[in-house]
Amino acid sequence: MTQKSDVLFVGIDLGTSRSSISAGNGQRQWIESYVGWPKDFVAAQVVGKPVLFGAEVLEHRLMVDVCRPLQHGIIKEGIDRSEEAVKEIIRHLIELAGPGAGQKVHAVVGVPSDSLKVNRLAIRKAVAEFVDSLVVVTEPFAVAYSLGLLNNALVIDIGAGTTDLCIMHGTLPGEEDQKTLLQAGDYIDDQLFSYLQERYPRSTFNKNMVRQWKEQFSFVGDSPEEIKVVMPVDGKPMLHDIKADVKRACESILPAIVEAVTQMIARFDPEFQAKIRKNIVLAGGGSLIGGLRESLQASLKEYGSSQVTCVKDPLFAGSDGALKLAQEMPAQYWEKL
Amino acid sequence: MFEKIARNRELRTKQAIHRGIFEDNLRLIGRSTPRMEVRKRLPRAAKVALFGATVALVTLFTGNAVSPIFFPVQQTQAGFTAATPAAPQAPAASQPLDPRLFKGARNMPLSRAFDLGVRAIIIDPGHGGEDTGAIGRGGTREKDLALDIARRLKRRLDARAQTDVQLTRDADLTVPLAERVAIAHADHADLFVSIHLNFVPNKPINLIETFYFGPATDAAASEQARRENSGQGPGMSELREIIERLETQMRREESPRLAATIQASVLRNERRADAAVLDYGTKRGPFVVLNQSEVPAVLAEVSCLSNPEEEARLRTEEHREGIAAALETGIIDYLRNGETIHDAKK
Ligand SMILES: [Zn+2]
Repeated sequence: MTQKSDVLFVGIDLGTSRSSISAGNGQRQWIESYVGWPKDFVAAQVVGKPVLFGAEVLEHRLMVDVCRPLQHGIIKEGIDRSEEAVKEIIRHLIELAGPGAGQKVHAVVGVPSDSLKVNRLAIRKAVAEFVDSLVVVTEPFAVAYSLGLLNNALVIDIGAGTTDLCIMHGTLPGEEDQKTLLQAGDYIDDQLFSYLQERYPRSTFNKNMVRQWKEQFSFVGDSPEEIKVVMPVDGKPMLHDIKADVKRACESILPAIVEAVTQMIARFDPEFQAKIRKNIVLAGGGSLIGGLRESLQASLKEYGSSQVTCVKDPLFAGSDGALKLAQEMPAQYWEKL
Repeated sequence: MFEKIARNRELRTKQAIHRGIFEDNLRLIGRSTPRMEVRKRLPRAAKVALFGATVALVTLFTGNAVSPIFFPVQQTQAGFTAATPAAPQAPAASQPLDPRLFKGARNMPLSRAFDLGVRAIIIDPGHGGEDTGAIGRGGTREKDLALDIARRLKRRLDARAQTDVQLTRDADLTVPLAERVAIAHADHADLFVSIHLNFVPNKPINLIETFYFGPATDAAASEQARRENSGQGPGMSELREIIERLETQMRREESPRLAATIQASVLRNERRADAAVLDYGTKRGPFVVLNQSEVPAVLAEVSCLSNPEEEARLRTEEHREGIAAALETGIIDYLRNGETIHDAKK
């Protein structure tokens, strides 16, 4: 039994906006994928730490250099300290998981499909420093694994920077089984921001406020509730009804997702197509958009009857799946990696 | 019974997936990565550099012109344009430096002052092999474009005398960053130019930017050099070490100047194709490739692959040749800058 406690298995979901860790010792933690470094000596004194994460970064954003390393789903080599930021996030997450003294860490890390394609080496290098053995997989694959959906299933992971789609058909999904779209959370923010700017030219609001409204009110389809928010007009706070704009912005990501789903499914035999359509799973923060599941299911209906479900725990689905994979991978594989 | 069969099937599926993941990651950590052979060393002007550095130290100890030699901030900018197509006249390695050149040498580029005459140029096509780099909407891959432009640039520079141009990869190979730097070291490169194509998702813009490794993180090295130079002069045994440190410092201070001439030229070229192209200028960037390099080193984002119109242009040979020509002009401008001043002094 000593053998087992020598190693701490962890699953990490390195997301475009949030990153989470699930560890074999029961720890589950998440942080926002922002890293901030104090701009100078004075700022370092004020914030009192060499590196800040998530909410702390936003709080001190005037005093720190901010980096959101996987914002667009890819690490750009070196630019904006992306690699360094990924390292900090991994270091911090593993600290949160709290491996015991002398305990080896074996990690499975799920990353956005595009970053796996574009910059696999950079990500591996950034993580390798903090773990003893490492496996990198795509985020939607990790989600599928956590749900035991290894065959005839399609995972749609709607994150902040990207929406990743992945078809499972009993083997490790290849490049053609995965697709990345830029229509995701940030895209909705951008749309909503421009709609509101157009409609309320004399109001002042920023991207941060828009993002908060989206997180609070996002929906597609029908909603009986009004959405009223406070926006200053010429300096005076005014209530505005932004329901129509929120709906329009959230729905703007649907066509691309429907198109991608039907294209990806079309590659399979009709028999399997029907099976996959019955097994579509929505994951990621975007799966929390009100009415999205129903809308998607309705839109797909014209291609044949479909069943769309949402993962129960979008924040940890990826890291839980990565942990499960870490625990189930044969030991001889870990030794060689 | 049925349950057992289903469970067995799931187990087999999992085994296949585990093996797939294992092999995929094995490939990734480069078990199949081809190693670049380390090429033989190029001759360098060690004697001349030693002589130059000695002169510099003498100048220091006699209390003159500390700042112009250590921190020659004032540089003439991109005085030369593509109008004069003559080849650069790099001095021969044996040609000794005129000590008089150090007198009031405020505007003299260090490459000239220390005879860091550029001969060995390393061109680094970004990405390659497993690492495709960015991929345009039309499917064009950064690694292929970078290699194509690099080859064109090499061909152009090879046509000029007195330069020795090497590529860090001349095929679709995975070359780790550390190895690219090692190639520069092994070849005693005088210049290092990494070619990349930018990618800015969500924004339909086209932009040009060039990164260089800045001297900021080198504060420790320059501080130590300063410490060593204060009080009494160093003994001969220490001289060699100091020279090496100086040389590193010098070369690094050249990087922003190289970045500026490349940025100007590549931007000028791009404006002809797209008047709306944005000038993101030159920036200091902590690139892995650059910060381990001890030579003037820049990373040029010569185009923007996420811009659909630009991607279409990049598919034409004409545009890629144009970018290569612009890079060439940028490099030559950098070299010329020193040359002009050198000629004027004569
Ligand atoms: Zn690149």
